[in-house]
Formats: sequence, structure tokens, C-alpha cells
Amino acid sequence: MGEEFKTGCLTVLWTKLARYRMWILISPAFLQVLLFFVLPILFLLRISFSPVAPVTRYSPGFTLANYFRFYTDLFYLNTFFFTFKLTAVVTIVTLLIAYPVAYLIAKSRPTAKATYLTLLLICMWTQYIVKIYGLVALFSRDGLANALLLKMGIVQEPIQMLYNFFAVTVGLVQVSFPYMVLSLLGVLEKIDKSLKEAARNLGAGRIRTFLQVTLPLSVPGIAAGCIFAALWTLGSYATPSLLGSEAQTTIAMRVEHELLTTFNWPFGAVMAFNMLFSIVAVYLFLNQFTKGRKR
Amino acid sequence: MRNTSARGKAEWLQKLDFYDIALKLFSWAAFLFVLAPIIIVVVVSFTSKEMISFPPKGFSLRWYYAFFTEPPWMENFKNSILIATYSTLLSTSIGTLAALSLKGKTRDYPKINTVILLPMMIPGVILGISLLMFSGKIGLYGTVWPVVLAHSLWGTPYVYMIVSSVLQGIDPALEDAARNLGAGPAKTFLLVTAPLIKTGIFVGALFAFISSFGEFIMALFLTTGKTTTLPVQIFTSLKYDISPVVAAVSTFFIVLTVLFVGTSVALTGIKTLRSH
Repeated sequence: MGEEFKTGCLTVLWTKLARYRMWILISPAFLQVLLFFVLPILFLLRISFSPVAPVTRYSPGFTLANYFRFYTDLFYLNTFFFTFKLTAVVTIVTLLIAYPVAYLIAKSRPTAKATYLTLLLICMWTQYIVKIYGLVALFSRDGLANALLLKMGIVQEPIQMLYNFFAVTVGLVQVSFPYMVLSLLGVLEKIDKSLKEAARNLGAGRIRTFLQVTLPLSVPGIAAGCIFAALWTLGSYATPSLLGSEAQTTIAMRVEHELLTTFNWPFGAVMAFNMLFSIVAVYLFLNQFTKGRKR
Repeated sequence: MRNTSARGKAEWLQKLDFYDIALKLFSWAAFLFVLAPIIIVVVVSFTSKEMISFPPKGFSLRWYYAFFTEPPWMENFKNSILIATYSTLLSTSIGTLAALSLKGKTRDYPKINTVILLPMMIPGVILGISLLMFSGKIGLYGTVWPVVLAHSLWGTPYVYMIVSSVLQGIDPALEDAARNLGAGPAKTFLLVTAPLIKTGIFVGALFAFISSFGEFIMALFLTTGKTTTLPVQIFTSLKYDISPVVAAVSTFFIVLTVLFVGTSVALTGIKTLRSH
């Protein structure tokens, strides 16, 4: 009797709560995003308008001086231009390497496909800091690449392959590659084979079929992959600082420098916000292409 | 006779698809390019010399021994484990609850997805510095909590996505049957729903753990000398020298990654992993 009563009560309570159940269950997730993501970002925004102060890092006043300094100083604007240039190069190189790979995987048999995908997943989940070490060992003066070049007699003494634009690009392409392949694979697998056959039957060659059928249909995948590569490169810090020189300083490196070395928090916040704006802009631009054309 | 063999050769040549061969060669070269750094790290970690050299000289486990005995590696290892465990517990509970909230809902809630997945779209640098400033403000700086919370911002979406996709595959008739047979909502959940989604929760937790364990940029901003994690220490070491001990630590990460990918693929199939 008592047991039944208790269960009854619980069921009534559950039904009463059921209306709100969805919101109760989702509230920790929302709370987490609100408290540890939205609030800190708003705090960052507030600090970007604060005057610089020596010990406390920022003071409570309000000023536009930090923004003014940023938009008038070519030194910092050049960092932004450089980061955009790097982003464009990395995104295009990644796309050019990843497309044929995705194309091959899309038409492979199940066993081969599973092998390729497993390798891709290992590549995707290997920490990029580990890959950077591998690249240093590959490209350093005593590294594998130089050892091979010397052995084959192509060069007489080790050449400098690290700490330049090339090394940074290679490092970033390494990270974006698996994401790009998976994005492309998602659309390439869905392309209706009969469309290609139709094009071939109508007399189009393989290249023409690719350019006029496959490529246009894979635009959403290209855009999705480019979003990853572009956002990752725009925010990159570790790869350029370990594989690049002073000339390859990205926005994130400048932000880190302002925050942890010169302790100019307000100015660091201004740069971080401009970085966020450019990221949102690039995302919104590329995201238009992810939906595909309406028929 | 000669005639047939000539024709045979022609057929063999015709069957050769040059586009296909070029595609395969290019793709294999691309795979070699992206896997090379990983393979090199493993090779270097077994060298017996202080310096990197190719071909590697000698074979020894001394760098692994150094990893386990020389400071600060073990200290950082413990920090990494602790931080990853806390953030996994946090993201697994929050993510699972969030996924359960949409159970049985017929329409999609794209806005809810956007809110939960939003932190994943934002570069770690931005999350790291905003949390650095904010944790100073609320007095958490210097503890493990800022980095735990930061990592769970990225772990929760993984758990949420994986558990949601498992929940979508459950036949609602099973739960209805339990309810019709007299089980209350709590009993139905414990005896029917929970066993069906437990693998999903486990794989989600694995994702959260491995992403926190290997995360570098947020940890760089949010850890202090006492709470430094392994990836941050690898970064610091790489700035100054390229000692093979870093290769041994990195190989440890690679083994962990391979085990993680293997387990997840075995448990949920390659499909679930691909979509993230």
C-alpha cells in the first residue's frame, strides 16, 4: 500500500514535471555555455574598452583608445593581413590535396574504405602538438628530409626547411587535411551515379563530366571543409610559433604576447575581438555555400 | 597465335585506367605526407642518442625511462589525467542530460544544437583568454577549474552529439512496452533506456577524455606552473630543444589515440565517428 502510494505520487510528479522536463534536462548545458562562454566573452568585450592599468591590468573607466590604436597601427593590421594570406594559402592547398583523396575513398570498396577512414581518424585525433614534433624531426638540419637529400646528392649541405612560411603551411595543412577529406567525402558519396553516367552517355569526357557535374555538386562539402581549415588557421597559435619565424606571426600569437608578456590586457582584448569578428565574417561567407543549390 | 597475344596485350592496356592509377598514387602520397610526422615520432623515440639523426642510431628505451622518471613529465602527466577526468565527468553528465531532453521529440531543435555546439566553433585562443580574465575576476585562477571548465565546453558537444544519435536509433516501442507492463518512468529509464544508451555514453566520454587530454591552447592560458599539462610541457620543450624524450611522450599520445580510435570504431562503427 505504502509502496504503491509512493510510486503513484512519483508518477504524478513526473507527469507534472514532464511539461518542463526538456528544459530541466537541458538547463545544465545552457548554464555551462552561459557561465563559462557567454559571460567570459562579454567580460572580454568590457575589458577591451578599459584604460590600461599597470598592476590590475585594466581599470574600470571607459575608453575607445585601444580600438583607435589598433585601427591606426600598421604593425598590428599587417599581422591581420598576414594571417589572412596564410589562411587563404592553407585552405587552398588543403583543398587541392584532400579532393583527390576524398574522391578515391568515395569510390573505394567497403574494406579499402574502412582502412582509409581508420587512417584518417588516427590522423585527425593525433594531437597537433605531436605532429609538430614529427615535422621538426622531418625538416630540421639533422632531419629525415635533409638526410635523404644529402644521400641522393641533390644538396651538398643541409638546407634550412624550418622556421619559414613553407613549414608553417605544411604544419597547418597537416591538421586541416582529415577534416577536409571527411567534409568532401560526405557530399561525394551522396552524388547520384546516374548523373555522371548521363553526362558520359551524352558524350562528355571524364574531365568535362568532373568539371560540370561532380565539382558543382560537391560545393557544399568544399565549403564545409574550407570553413574548418580557415577557422583553424585564423586562430592558429602553436604551429606558427613552433614552425615559423618572426615573419610568420599570427593574430593569436600577438594576442598571447599582449596578454602574457606585455600584460596589456585591454589591447589584447581588442585584438581578440577583431579576430573573432573576422572569424564570424569568414564563417558567414563560406556558410552560404554549404547548403547547396535549391532545385 | 601471335594475333591473340597482341590482342590480349591491347585489352590489358585498355583495362589500365590511367586516371585511376594517377588518383591512387596521388592519394597514397597524400596519406604518406600526413602520416609521416606520426611515424617519424615513433621511430625517433627509440633512438639511443641525445640528438635526432637519420637513419636512427641504436635502439633503446632510455627516453621512455626518462619520461617516467625525470621531472617534470610525471607531474604533468598526473595533472593531465586529473583535468581530463574532471572535465570528462562534467561533460558526460551535462551532455547526456542535454541529449535526453530531446528524447521522443519529433521536431528538430536546430537552435538548441547551435547553442550547445557554439563553443566548438570558437578558436581555443579566444576561449582561453576570455576564461583567463574571467577566472581571475571570480577567483578561480591558479586552480584546475578554469581549464576543466574550458575543456568541458568542448567535451559536452561530443557527448551530446553521440548520445543523441544513439537515442534516435532506439525503437520507442521498447519504452512503451515497459510502461504498459507497469514500469514507472524511473524504472523504464533504468531498465530499458539506460542499457541501450550506455555504450553511446561511454564512447562520448572517451571523446571528451581524449580531447581534454590532448588539448593544448586553452591549457596554455589556463594552467599555472603547478597545473601544467603534458601538451603544454611538450610545447615548452619544443620551444627550446628537440630532445627525444618529447618523442617518447608523443609516442605515448599516439598509442593512446590509436587505442581510442580502435575502441570507438569497434563499439559504434565508423559512421558515428565520421560525422564529427
